[in-house]
Amino acid sequence: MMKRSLTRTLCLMLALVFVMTIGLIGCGQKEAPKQDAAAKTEEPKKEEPKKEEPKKAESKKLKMAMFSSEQDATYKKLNIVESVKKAKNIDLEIEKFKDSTDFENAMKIRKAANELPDVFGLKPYQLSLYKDILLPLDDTDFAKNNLYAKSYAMDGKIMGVPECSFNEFVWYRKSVFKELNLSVPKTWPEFVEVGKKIKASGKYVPLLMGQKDDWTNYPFTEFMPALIANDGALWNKMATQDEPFGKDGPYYQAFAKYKQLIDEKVLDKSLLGAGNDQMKVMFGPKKGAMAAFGAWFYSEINNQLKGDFSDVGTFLLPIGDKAEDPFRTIVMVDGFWATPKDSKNIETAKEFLSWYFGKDWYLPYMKDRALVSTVKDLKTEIPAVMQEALDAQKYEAVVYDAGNDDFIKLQNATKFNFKKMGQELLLGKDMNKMMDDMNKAWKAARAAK
Amino acid sequence: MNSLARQRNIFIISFLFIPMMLLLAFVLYPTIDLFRMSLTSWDGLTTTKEFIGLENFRKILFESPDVWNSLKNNWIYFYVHALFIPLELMVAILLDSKIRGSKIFKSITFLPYIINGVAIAYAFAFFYSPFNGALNEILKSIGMEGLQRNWLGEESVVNYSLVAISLWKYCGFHVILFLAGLQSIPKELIEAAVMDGANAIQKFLHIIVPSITLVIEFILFHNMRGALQVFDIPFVVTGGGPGYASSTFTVYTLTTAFTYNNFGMASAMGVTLLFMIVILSWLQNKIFHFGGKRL
Repeated sequence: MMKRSLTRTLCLMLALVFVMTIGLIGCGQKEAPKQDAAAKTEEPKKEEPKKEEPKKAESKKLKMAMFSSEQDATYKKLNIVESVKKAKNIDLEIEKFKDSTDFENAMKIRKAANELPDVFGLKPYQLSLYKDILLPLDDTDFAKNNLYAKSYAMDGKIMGVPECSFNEFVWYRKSVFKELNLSVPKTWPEFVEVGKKIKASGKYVPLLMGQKDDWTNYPFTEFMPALIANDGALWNKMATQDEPFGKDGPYYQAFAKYKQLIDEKVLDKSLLGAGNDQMKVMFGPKKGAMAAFGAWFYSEINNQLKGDFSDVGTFLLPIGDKAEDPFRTIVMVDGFWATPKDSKNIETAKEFLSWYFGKDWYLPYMKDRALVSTVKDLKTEIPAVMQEALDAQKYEAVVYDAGNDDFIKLQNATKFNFKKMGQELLLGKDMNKMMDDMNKAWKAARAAK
Repeated sequence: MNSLARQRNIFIISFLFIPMMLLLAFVLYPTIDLFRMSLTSWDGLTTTKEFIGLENFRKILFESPDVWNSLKNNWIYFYVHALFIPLELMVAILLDSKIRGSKIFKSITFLPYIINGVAIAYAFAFFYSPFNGALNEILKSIGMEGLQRNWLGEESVVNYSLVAISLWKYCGFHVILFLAGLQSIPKELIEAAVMDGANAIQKFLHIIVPSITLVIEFILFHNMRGALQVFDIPFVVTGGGPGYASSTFTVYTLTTAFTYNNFGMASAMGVTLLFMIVILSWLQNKIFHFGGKRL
């Protein structure tokens, strides 16, 4: 009897615990929108601090998320936290992530939980993923003054304001070129030839590309198709085609060029065994001759070379088969600062970004990062080592567009991953089969839409 | 109900309340949510979660060869670890005997298990590097250049390179578990067997193994569950590459969720993994207890 009573009591208690737990979890989920609603309804109360003088001095809090190690180094060097506290009385809390993958994953989880930071820097291809939850910034001065913000508008609205634009370069060691009697290539065949000669010397890795990290092939697998097509928005165009991976298409042609580097052993399988961390440190000690990376590589190697760039040169990656072919280069616009529309600190976020893009912070910051300004009337000079590449060659700039909604949906449905495809090509997979398979999957995904 | 019984009830309930609450909040609720999400086409970003029934499971079974290729890699972790279990038992028996410095050896054996997995993965990435990597340099210095490989860049080798890291990390843990089992065997039992003239093999087969069957059972389960769930080592060392050559079921689940924004499918893969572990554990248990007694 007593046993039955005990069992009944226990069961009742556990049922109660279950109901309470589910209830609490449910309440937890609803918390965020409640806060948003509170934030919205609080707006009229914002008048109060104006009347009460002492409250004006209260600092404002702002959370910001970023992932780039170069960005972090400059923030520390120029002390962004103290600067913004002094200028705008904002207590800035910076969340750092290991790399872009970590950052992207974390932001997706945080978005689902409605717990995004007040400001965060997006990659161009992330804009379409986040556009529904971002605050349009069209009415802000920093968006109006930005050279590229309008070009990346989503459904006509500016959802992110880019902080920089940069070019892509091939970085090389001048002394290696001199030793092997090489000159800067002006065409793709010349570039392949230079790589072959470096490889033949047996002393240097021709192209430092740590292919264990698949993203390192992006100059060839991501940008080259757009350059061949002379269309920065190539992905969007591909989203309108049933079979965009055919032999006549720019994507196939770019991969055919990349395959040439593999066939000629300029790139070999050993690169698959080392990551970017291991390869980039080989540039300083001159174990490698070239590295194909954007302007961001400048700050990566600055420490390795202790600021001495006398033995480093750059050139724009040539993709034309003949010297008379138009010479095109990618211009990448990056670091799209955005703020969620449900943020509790929208006004502080706008105030912060307005300060961020102002000359007092922005100019020294861009100078330290060696990147090109995106703000009208605020010009920045890039270091001479990169300027020499831009001066040496007449070129047409192709502004890269990372893909619209339609493209992203097709990319997800077909699991189209150009970086992995580049890795697999280096692994020795059949390129024609890869392209045929992609065409089939692409066509099926479009039909299923 | 008398006062003693009431007090006992209060005592039991108050002690069970918090653990039960934690269990429900962090185990039961996420599991139910996982099942719910597996029946949707949620992309992880939008607020709408369209119900699509068992479509995700159909795709996993019939339209996702990469999922099954990844599972093949899990199999490599399973059988290589399984092959090492007898060796782990031998080491444990050795450490259980009165050899000089056995305590130090026990600590050294267990050390890799307590080192952070990500740190281990990074260290091994450099160890295996084809550019001045320690392993290739060691082989070169002892005149075995013929054995040098691109340890993380060759499809045929990469999984075994990763399994070696896993062995390095987990073997010590298994050895310690075996040791605990060995130390629980009453000494009198062994002494009696010796008195009766049992040799070392007889002692091992008729006393040691039957006495530690629970430990063996647990290690087999741990091996199977670990092999199916292996994630940190391939994810940090190779990212599942080159291509998808070293991708495991869990790495591919993560790629499905975060790279291809298909959280519905990833949840279905999570549910599939859960069922695989339950079925294989049941099967392993049946084999272990074949004929009504432990093997």
